[in-house]
Amino acid sequence: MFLTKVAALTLLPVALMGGVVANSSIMLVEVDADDVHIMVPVPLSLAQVAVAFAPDEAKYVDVEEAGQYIPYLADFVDALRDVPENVMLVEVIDGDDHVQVFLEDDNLRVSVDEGHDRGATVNVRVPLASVAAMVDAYDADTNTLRTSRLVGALRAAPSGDLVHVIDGDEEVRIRMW
Amino acid sequence: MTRKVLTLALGAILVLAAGTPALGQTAEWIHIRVTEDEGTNVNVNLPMSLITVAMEIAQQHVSDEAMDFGDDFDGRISFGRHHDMEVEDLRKMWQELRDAGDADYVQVEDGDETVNIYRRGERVFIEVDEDGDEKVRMQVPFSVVDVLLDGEGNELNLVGALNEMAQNNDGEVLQVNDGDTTVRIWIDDNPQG
Repeated sequence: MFLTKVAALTLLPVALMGGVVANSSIMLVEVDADDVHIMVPVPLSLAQVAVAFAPDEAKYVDVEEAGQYIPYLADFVDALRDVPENVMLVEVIDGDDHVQVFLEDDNLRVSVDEGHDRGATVNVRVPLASVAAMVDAYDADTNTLRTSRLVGALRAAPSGDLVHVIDGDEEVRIRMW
Repeated sequence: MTRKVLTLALGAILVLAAGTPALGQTAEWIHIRVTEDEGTNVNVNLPMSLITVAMEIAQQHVSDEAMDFGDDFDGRISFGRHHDMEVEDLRKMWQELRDAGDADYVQVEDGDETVNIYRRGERVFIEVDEDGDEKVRMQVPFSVVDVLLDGEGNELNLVGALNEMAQNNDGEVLQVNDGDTTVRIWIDDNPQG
């Protein structure tokens, strides 16, 4: 009951902001585990505005060694965009376990299914548009990612599930509205 | 044996990746199939362009001085001076082998394990047998080695060699039969293999 109230209170400002964010994405994070239900809506347009007023430490994320790989992401995206739709890039079948990696509608899809009763399923969708936008967020001179552009990269994601994990009684879902 | 299979597979992928830029439209996809009797199946179909990017990343982080890919990597690998065999020496040796005609180059018998490398016609055969039912089979057209060694100094023309292999070896790169496990690696222009 308490969690329901928390969820309702969390959603209220989002509902009130409806007019403001009508044309923007909301990232919805839901966690269900036993008797716990958590739902956190994140209005990305407001987050982007908030970042503009944040201190510099929050505006830029130092990516350290990972920075050298980020420019290559653009090449990865280009290469993946040349792949015909629904070509199975990777498929592993091991007993009941089934792993698939493929492209669908400009998204890299990863699907893991343990197959057996109450086995875990994992579905991840990585929008290539978001990855490309993330490359733009990288500043090679300072080796940092601009937080506002990172949020923008998320906004580039089309609506639908980004992550959906079901493992027994536990379920985690991150989706774009 | 599993380690051997993985090593061979990885080696083949690296070599393939190095050869990617020249493969053009005739061989745009690399396929890997691993089948185990226990029921595990692995299918990998990757565009060469994707592996090229991976190789670009890898080459930036190769710290092994024995194999310096260099900043302007174009598929040719320079070996370090401290290597036991310079590519130039390999080139001379190859020329002598080439002139010798059909011959058995290497024969090793070590208990249940045998290794044979020999030339028949215009192909070099590499065969490894272990415990009777574990087999590695590779055949490399002569023209592939010719192209591989057509660089200068300590360079190996991997790009050209792979291009040659794709065109003259029916795209087959490696087949391993390890009793319970078979591995096949090949390249072609079909996304699904």
